[in-house]
Amino acid sequence: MEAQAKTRIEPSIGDPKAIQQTVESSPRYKARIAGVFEFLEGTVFTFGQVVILGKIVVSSDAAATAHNILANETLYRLGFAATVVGVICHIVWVFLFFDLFKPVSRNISILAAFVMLVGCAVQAVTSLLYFAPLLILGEGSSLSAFTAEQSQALTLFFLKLNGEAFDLYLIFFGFWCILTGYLIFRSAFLPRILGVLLAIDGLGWMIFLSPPLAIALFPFIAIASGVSELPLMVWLLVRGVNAQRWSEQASEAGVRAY
Amino acid sequence: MTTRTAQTSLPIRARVLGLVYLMAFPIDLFGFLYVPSRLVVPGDAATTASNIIASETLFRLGIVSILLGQIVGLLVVLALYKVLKGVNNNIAVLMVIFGLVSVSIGVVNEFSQFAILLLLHGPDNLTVFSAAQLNSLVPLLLNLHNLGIRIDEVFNGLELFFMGYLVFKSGFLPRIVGVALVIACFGYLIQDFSAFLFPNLAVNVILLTGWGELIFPLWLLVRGINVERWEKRALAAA
Repeated sequence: MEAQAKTRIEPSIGDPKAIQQTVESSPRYKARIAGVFEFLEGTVFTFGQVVILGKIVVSSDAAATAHNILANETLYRLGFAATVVGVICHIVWVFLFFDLFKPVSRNISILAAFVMLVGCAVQAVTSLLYFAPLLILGEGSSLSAFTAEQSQALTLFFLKLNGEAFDLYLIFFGFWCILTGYLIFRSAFLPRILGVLLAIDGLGWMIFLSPPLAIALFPFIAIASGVSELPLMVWLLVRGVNAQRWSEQASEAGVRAY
Repeated sequence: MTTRTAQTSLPIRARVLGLVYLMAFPIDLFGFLYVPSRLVVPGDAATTASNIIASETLFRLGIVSILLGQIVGLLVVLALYKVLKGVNNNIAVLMVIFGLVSVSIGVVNEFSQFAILLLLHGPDNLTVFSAAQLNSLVPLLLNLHNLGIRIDEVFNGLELFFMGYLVFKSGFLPRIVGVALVIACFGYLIQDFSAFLFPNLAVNVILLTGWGELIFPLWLLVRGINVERWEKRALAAA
């Protein structure tokens, strides 16, 4: 298909076909950039929320957790900065997905973007809770009226709250997955199966409306996530989208391709 | 017909936008700088707590002014979208998106200031804590508030980056203003990320880099935009 597209278009200056080519190559390029930012966001966020917190938090031991934070303060700060950078990458891919799926349904893609932007704001506010332990334990902390045990307990409390807030984000992410799954299914430029899988994945994340149920079912949610989000990201990175069909769908919908 | 309305109203709209944008300054300075400077005594939780209780109205006015500043920010970014979308619609949408997230963070961030009032007015169940303990939570919440402002600045800074890019490329606003806005963005990013990562470094560059945020609204208010060139842009984009 790619070879076809290349032979079909002969780029030359002033040739309307050359203009056509830049228009057609742009959705594929955008799809790849969306994949790149999705990958960056996933990596950076996992580093901050999973890898670093996994090393530092001892879920039943507030004293050990507090000790780990102070002993690895630079690493901990890096983890926090990573979550902020993650939100930035997240916002960028929300926009790129919106731009990509506009031709399928303008309304649904706007709705999906709004839902996910609320999720981004939740993530950004969540990072406050991530940082709070440093304010409690760090130099110049005001909590001298509390015992060391109390401060440590408060630290673990904020870290658990951080986890809860992250679950809240997942609900919005899940709804986005369902909407985007629908958009992929209706699109002419991505394989339908990716849309079906993503919608199922979204239903999985939305189980976090009831955290205990979600934790009980987590292995299934994780599998659904692995078999849908990963293939979609790889597909976007490697194949992009079918630019010709994207343009056809865009001109049918009257969306202007920049 | 449409061009005629644009001709008559656009210069006025740009100036009103500049005026509203400029209003954000006294509002923000009051909430972010003046009120804390009157109430917060660094290193002294008890005095800070009693100051807040003694001047509760001032403290509440500080919260209100910050929330008002966020509403102004929202109005400004939406109005700027209308002015700048002809330059590059995608970048203008990105500007709005970062602005919206920044406003959301800024509004939610005020919860920590309300938490201070709740603590100090102590619902009955808080009596299990000693007065010293309750007081010592006040600086913690103020620090959390400051952290939230820094996180907010990151997203607000990126909004300025896209704004600066659009102004630079516009042709109906001076390029130097666009450059100044981009410099303001990097000032925020440098200052905030250095505070996140190296707290002892305490880089403070905003007074050097932040001028774009003052120059841009002033330019809109005093000089407005070059309507002829703006219309050319708008026609080309339509």
